[in-house]
Amino acid sequence: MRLADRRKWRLRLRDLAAGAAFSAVALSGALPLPVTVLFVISLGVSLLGRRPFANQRVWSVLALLAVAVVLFGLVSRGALDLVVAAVGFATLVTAHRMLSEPTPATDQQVLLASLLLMAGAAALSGDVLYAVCLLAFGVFACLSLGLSVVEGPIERDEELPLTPVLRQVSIGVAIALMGGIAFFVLFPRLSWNVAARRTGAGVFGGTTGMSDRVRLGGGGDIKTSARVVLRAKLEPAPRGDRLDRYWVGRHFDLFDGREWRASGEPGMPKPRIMRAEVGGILQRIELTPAYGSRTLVGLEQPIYFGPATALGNTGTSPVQLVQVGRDEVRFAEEANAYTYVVHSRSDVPQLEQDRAALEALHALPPELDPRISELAARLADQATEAEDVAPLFERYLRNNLNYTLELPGEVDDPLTDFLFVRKEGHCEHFATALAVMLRTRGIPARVVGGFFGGERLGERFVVRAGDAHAWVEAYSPARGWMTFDATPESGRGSRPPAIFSRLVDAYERLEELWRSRVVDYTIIDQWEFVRKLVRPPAGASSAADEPDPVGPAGERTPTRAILGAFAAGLLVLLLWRRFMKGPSGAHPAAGFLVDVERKLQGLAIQKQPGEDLEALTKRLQSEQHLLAEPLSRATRRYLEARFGDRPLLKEERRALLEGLERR
Amino acid sequence: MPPKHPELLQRLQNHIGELVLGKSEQVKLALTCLVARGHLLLEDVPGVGKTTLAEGLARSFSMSFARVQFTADVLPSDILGAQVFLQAKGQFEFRPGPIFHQVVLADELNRAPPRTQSALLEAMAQGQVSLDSVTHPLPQPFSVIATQNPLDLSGTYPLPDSQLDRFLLRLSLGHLSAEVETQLLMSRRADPLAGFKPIADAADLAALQDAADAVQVSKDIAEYAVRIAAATREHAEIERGISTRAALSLMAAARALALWEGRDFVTPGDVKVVAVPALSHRLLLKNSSQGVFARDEAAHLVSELLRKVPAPR
Repeated sequence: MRLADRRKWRLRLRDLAAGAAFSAVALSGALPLPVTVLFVISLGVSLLGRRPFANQRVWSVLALLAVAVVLFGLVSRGALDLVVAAVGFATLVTAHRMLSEPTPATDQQVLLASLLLMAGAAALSGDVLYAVCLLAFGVFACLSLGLSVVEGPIERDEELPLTPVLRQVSIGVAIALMGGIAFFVLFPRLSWNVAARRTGAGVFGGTTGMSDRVRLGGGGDIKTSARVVLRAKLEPAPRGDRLDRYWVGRHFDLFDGREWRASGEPGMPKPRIMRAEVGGILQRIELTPAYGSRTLVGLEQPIYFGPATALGNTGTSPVQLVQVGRDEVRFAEEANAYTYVVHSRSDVPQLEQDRAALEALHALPPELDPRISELAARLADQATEAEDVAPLFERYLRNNLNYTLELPGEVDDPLTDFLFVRKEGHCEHFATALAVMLRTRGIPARVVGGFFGGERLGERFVVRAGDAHAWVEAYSPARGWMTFDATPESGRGSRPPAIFSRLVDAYERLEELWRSRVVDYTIIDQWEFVRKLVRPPAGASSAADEPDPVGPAGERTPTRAILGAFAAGLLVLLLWRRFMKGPSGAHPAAGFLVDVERKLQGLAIQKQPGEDLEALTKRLQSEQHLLAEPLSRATRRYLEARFGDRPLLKEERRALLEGLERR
Repeated sequence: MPPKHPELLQRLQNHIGELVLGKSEQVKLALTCLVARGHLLLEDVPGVGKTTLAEGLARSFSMSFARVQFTADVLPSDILGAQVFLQAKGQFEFRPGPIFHQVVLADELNRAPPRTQSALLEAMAQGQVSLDSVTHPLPQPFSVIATQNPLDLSGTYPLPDSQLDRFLLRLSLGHLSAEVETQLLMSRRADPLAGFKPIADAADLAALQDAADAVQVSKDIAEYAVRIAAATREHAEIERGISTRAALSLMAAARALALWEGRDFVTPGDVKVVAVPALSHRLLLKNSSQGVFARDEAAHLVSELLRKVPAPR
């Protein structure tokens, strides 16, 4: 590779390293937009090979200083977080250096500034994407440094065989990365979680699965979204891979014929929620930035919302819960993501104390199509109680109406349109129809918004944006609130396209691994890991639900660990041999050369600079060295094998090497 | 590979070494040049044994030898020969010039005018002489050993590049070391060439030349030579790098050198040894000075390139 090419690649790799560091920062979502735009432009300009600041040192530095003053002015006024401002400034410094004269010193400054960016990004987000960016940064920066190391001593415009150099550098990088991981796993340390912030919704933005109103009509693509909005760890952990249960979010009790609203005063803070006694299923829930709402959800029926934590741009902090309206619980503060605990019990009847509230749930929209009450009356026949009537309606709706997400256009009376004209709709239509029909029969009913589903990924369950769902709760004086769902089963969960959902799943798995092995990995986990390697886990019953062909679970683990260690050792050995043999294109005799040279080194025979084996042999011969005779034989045989097409046999090789030992 | 080749070459080196004391490396390269069917250019000041070496080479093989002293008034016909009208027969007859010998010593070649110099070109390149549309083959093996004085350049015609490119190797002998010179002064009396006996014949040389042709060049070695050639072409201080003919010459010399160790293959070491004498006189440097300084500088550049271009190992 010629000088110009080498330089071009060095700069490109450097810019890519800076780009990776910038991505780590940008993905946290905390960086001010102008800074992001400026950097992206600079990166593009730099990758095109333009350096506009090369001759504008004074002006560009002054501009940079001005930006610094603005940024830190914002910090002193409290408009900007200090870390964000520092990272933003580091971003601009990186961009400035990238666009300056491309000297090795500039390279180092760019890489140093990028390293600062990586450190800043670590403070802003501990996401799995950060890990990816860190890897990319490390690889690109190492390769760029490798090229500049080559370029340093050889400044002339000469063809250099760079591939072997870069190959060695790459091997070095790979080994360093593996060593880094090993160090990370084995070296005692604190959890990353101590200082981490959680990223915002980032470049994708939040979803709008949870809104204040449910408006009938229109289609939607939310059902096809595979993005994960909620992760939950359940205790006791249910069996199976699919949960298929209702996650209750909001209740809507007022219907005006077009949309559902929640009664009560929105935003009125009330003290912390405490309902009934604790028990049932405990859920440790994390709402991801994609959730995009402040409403807490829990498996039906949530009875107690526990301590909650908000993960914002400035770190982790406890967050107040407030009750809004009758049943909705919200976080008091806006944040990127939240974690909280919720207890749910479905076995306790949820009896309503407030008579007036129940009365309000009979209310019907003013201009209701009379056909609806007629239909309800006909279907209900003699039945009066919710538990008898609702299943009849459910069956009717399910059997006579179709589920669809494609509802183009607006209509005046969406409910009539759904029931008698189009005869198809989505979950909100089904829920509305069921609730209204129940109300016409004098049964208190309301629409519930939340999620339906839950898939196991690792030890957690995830709920996707596409799992958003609406259903109905009806009140029976004898049995309290009961859940009914008229939507056909096929329409309840999410329906993401297969490829996309697989991608998201893979990412989720990676994220899970990153969480458990990096972010939340502490000295205790390290201890557990080492202990498991040494002897079987004490509670072998945890693996009892898996079929066990070998024998008692206790005996299996050490065997497995030993086999694993053996395999790992074998792998290392193979890799070692592979790489110590030199590049794969080498001549078969090259191994002999390496052996001879190693032997000579062992015999403390020093080569002069630039001397190869042939020249060394000639020199020793002229010096009448003791080893001259056996060495010249070995050299001759090597040269024959290497350049004369007379391959070296194994025994011959050994004999020649032994000859070198005997003096 | 018969074992006699290295032995014969060694004997020849020792034999000529008795004549030209203390110059065994140069003798070795000169012999290598003959074995590679090449022509030799000896550049040095007068009195260091150029002519003795040339004559010694010719006499050792008991080959026919002619010495031509080039001056400003030497004409092509003085070298090549001419048609002479024979009165008795009443017809023209070709009288061969001194070039019709197996070893021709062209002494002070750069003193001859260009047309005389170029008269040698065909002879050196093709081993034949064309006169009046008749082509006369030269006796084989045929070698020209030319000398020139790189310091005394007044009244000379520097050899054109095309002419220089025809010489396989360029050697300079240099002054003797003090010990060797002392020994020489004590021992030498009469003309040493007077009693100099051949120890081989032209057939031996032809056999050596055939053996050198049979030496194989592996792909790695050829690539190495190509890398060296490319390096001379791309070097910042070299105006014009070496030609493909020069690269061929390099390989030919390296093949002949391999015979000295009885090898039938070329090693990177062979290439390194012959690179300076085979290439340095063919380079045109940017800050081109004439004479001995240019040669020294070129030789220096070639050895620098040899250090830089990675050899196969």
